[in-house]
Amino acid sequence: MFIYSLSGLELKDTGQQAVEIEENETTARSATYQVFGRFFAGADDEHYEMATSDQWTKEFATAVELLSFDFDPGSAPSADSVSKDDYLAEFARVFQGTPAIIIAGSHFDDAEQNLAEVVRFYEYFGLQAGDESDRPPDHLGTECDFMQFVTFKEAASPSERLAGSYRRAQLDFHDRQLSLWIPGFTEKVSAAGTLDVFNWAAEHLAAFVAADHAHIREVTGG
Amino acid sequence: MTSGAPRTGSDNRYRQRWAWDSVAWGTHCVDCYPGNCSYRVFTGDGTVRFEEAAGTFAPVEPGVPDKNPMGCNKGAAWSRQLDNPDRITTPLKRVGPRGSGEWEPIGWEEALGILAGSIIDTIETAGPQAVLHEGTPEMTTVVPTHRFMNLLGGTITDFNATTNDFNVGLHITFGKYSPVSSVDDWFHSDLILVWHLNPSFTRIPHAHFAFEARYRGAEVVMFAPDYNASAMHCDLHVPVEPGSDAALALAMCQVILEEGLEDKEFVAEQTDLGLLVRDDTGRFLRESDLDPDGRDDQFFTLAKGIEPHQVLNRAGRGSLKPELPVRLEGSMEVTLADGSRVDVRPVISLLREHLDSAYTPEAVAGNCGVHPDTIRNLARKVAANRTNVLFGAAASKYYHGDLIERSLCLLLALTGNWGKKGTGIRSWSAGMFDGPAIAMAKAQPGVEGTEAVIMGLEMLAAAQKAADPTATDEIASEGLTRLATQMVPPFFHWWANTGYRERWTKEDWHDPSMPRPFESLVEEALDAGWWEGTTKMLSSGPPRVLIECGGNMLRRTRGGRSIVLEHLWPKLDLVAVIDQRMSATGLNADLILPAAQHYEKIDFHIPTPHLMHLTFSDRAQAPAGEALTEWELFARLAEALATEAQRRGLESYKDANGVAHRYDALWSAYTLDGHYADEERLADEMLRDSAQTGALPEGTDLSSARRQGHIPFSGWGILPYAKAQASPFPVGETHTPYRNHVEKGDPYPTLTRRAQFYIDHPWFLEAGEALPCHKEPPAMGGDHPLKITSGHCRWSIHRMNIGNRLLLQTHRGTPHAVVNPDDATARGVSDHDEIEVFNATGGFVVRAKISPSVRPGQIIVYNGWESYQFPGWRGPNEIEGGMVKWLHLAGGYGHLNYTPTAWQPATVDRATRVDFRPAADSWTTTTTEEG
Repeated sequence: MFIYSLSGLELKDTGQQAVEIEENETTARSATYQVFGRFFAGADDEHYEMATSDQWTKEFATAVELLSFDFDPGSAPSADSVSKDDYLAEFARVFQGTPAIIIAGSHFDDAEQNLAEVVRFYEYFGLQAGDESDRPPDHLGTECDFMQFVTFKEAASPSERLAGSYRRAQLDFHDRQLSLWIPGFTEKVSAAGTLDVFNWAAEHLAAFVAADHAHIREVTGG
Repeated sequence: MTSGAPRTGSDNRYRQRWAWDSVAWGTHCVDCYPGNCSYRVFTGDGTVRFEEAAGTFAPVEPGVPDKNPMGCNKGAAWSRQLDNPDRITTPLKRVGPRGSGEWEPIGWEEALGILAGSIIDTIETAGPQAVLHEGTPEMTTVVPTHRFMNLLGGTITDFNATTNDFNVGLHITFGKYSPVSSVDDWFHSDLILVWHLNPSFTRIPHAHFAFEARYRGAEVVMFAPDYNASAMHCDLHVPVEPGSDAALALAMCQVILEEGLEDKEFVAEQTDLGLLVRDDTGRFLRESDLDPDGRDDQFFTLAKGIEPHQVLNRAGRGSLKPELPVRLEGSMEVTLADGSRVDVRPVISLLREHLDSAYTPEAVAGNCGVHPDTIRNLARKVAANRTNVLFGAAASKYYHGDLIERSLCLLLALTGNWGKKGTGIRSWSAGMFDGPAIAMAKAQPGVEGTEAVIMGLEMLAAAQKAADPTATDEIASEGLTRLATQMVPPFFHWWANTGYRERWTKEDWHDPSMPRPFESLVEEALDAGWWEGTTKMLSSGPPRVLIECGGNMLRRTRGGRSIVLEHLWPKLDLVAVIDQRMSATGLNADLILPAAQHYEKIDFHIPTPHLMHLTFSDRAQAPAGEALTEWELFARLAEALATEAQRRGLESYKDANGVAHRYDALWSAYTLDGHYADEERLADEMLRDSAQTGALPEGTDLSSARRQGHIPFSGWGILPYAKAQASPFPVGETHTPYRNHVEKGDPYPTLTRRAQFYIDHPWFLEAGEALPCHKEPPAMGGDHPLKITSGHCRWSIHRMNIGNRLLLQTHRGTPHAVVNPDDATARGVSDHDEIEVFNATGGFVVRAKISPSVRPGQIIVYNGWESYQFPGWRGPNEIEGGMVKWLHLAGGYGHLNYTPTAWQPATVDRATRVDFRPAADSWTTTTTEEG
């Protein structure tokens, strides 16, 4: 059974019940975004533990199992050559600093406009930035959360028309967010000369976003 | 951006005037129909400097001109109104007597407190239905006013009863008036009949499609009493007597039938002319005549049997495609359920007799002033060509406008001229942008709220179809319009609370065929239950609070200020006017609340199939002074109501329908728990909702609107106006309505499910109007020699731009009446003299503009002037007839039941009888026909 789990976003309608559904090819997409979301949400002790115990590899392998398109995350390089403190510092240097910041607005000409657009996107699909979250709404982890949510809602939709609405939302979010800035972001990570595991995550995120974009374009005819 | 060397002095100031640092999309969200021009609005230091027509519309169909540039003089000068002297920038409270012009600026808290207090007083003493808003099509005000009034339980009157823009004759014929072709479809016409329209004045951005059609060989004919500004672009000007158009059109029909030029297949399939009528009663033969258990709405045609026999055939209700060929000739004897026998024959047989007896070209030439040879030539041209009636909103403003419109529809029916490229007749339509309707219907924001609304509509439509399996999507949707409307016809309010009762009971101002006194007919209509559910204001007493927003009652009310000022105003505890600028109604209000101008808020133009794109207008600058958007204003009013109710210890009340409302819940209901408090979010929600229905392209949101400015529609969406187009959604081609009827045989939403030219309602039979006919305009205004016709002017959208100083410099800059030189000479009047135009209802003083373009006996005062621009604040509506046609009180007959904006009594003004004379020096005294 699969259930979504948001960290940067929360449901606007708190009365909504969490729903568990059978795993399938769509929940596999949701699960993959969930793992990428967790990876890029921020680094902490657990993040480091997972990077040194091959746990990221296992989580991705489980998530992608039912995907209907080709995407092989392979094995995450181990981070056991660096200390936890260095690991956390490097994450902050690369992703929270200038080399490859994981805030979408920084990759667009008009960051303010992009932020407003993202927030309206979330709101129309029943989400809002979490009160407890210190991440901006256009943080990569939060954008992955959104994709996790709308793919899950597609899978859980009571009607085909509503499922179509969620599919179109995914396509639109690809067209206007992820597929626009993730390729450039990945190049910046590569140029930053950082840990292999960070490079690996960025490269595979780009590959997954591209494959998922192609998939959703095909199923929506978009 | 400006460039070049720095300059100094006036040269520099002038250049700075045109410098900008930011550009936004803009349009003018008023009922400039079809409008939808897209502008680039240039701002410098946060202030709008100027605007330019965008000119960014892509071509639609190869070989057809594009829509660019789309704009006009008004649009290009719109920014001049932002700081015009008539602009209102702070709430004003009346401190002298009403109409004294004595005001005190006050803050919003006090202003809204006054209005909230008066509304609560009214609710507690008379009920919320005594809070009145006169409906208006002004796009920018419709959503907030309807939202607020609906949540309050107030009364919104049906705006078309006041404007009378929508052609009721089209509704009588087709069961709908709103199918319109896209403006570029006019280019496909071979023959364009411009009728009751002056496109060079009122369709400036779109007229070129008709005139450019001449380059591919089309002929353009203008029918108008005067040689108007559009006539010079036409091949032929046919100067008809005012109000005689039905006679002319019916004579053309007579020629077509006499010469056998009619399209028999089209007539038999698309119209009721093949349906059988009983000779004894003059009513259609119904199934219930033949079988006591039969339907009242099942009709019959003649079909060819084995020679020499013919058979009675059921006319299909679910499809126009007949199983047996319809015979348009002959008659038959049938046996009724009671055993009696009657002769029946098709409508077209009655029509031939009707036309031959009274409508030969020679017979009507005296009525309409058109030579018989001209009539014959025109009739043959219509029969031989793809013909388009480029129709305006003037015909409906004649007392017998319905007959004019029905006659024109008949002309097109006989010649097969609708449902094909370059054909048809146009009126007004909205639709497609269904986001506002969905957003307002939602119980929760977002996509799942949208889904719930769409599913609800689908279930209702399915229920309608289950009740009538022959109903198409269009017919099921049309039924929902009646269920869902928030408006009521104002007729019964006017009858009870205004000076119209005195006016309408003048029997000699009605048509001579009115069979009984008007009061008796009102009683009959009420007793018959034809208007049940629409008369709540009649039973609950007069309104107490008037909220005027987007309208201007004192300028617009036909019949003059006395109709409302003398009769309604004393009954009102409070008149609140929400407006961008001072208006005639504002001058007589108790409270004036300043509204943001179009460049100061986010909004959209009226969406219409005429243009097939949604036009966006952004907030290019902050509202002037303390002005608020209408949306925010009503949100604050909802808060003020809760505050005032709490102060008084009040919690809830019930409306006229028994629905409970809580004062402290109004704001959260209005804003959907705060979700719509942010107007950017509201606009975004509306756009996304429309994308959900497919009316707008996938992914459309506020950001895309900001990028594109105008967004081509991608589907019809879910609204009845759009479904009434009854055509496939056009992709890469112009839009032509009615194609589903003509190509697929989909039925029309009329009683007979056909384009209906025979109305066998007892009142229509009694009036002699079962078939289209010509009747002279009645002598509204008294026995005077001149007829006033009017029309929209070139310099203003209604009164919106009438005070624009730049536009005032492009003409005489003052109200004027256009009169014929002979009429002027006979009365000793020279050009630019002040004249008094008068009749039995009053008069007004205006400058004479003498022009041979106006025919003798005609006088034109173009629409739009504020009454305060005339001496004594008396404008042209003082002498307007303001009558309603008694026959439009009929109901209980298929599509002739109250239908929002389509079927109800509406006031008229055209061809009101007047005279004029040189103005006396003492023009400020009361002017009547007695002098």
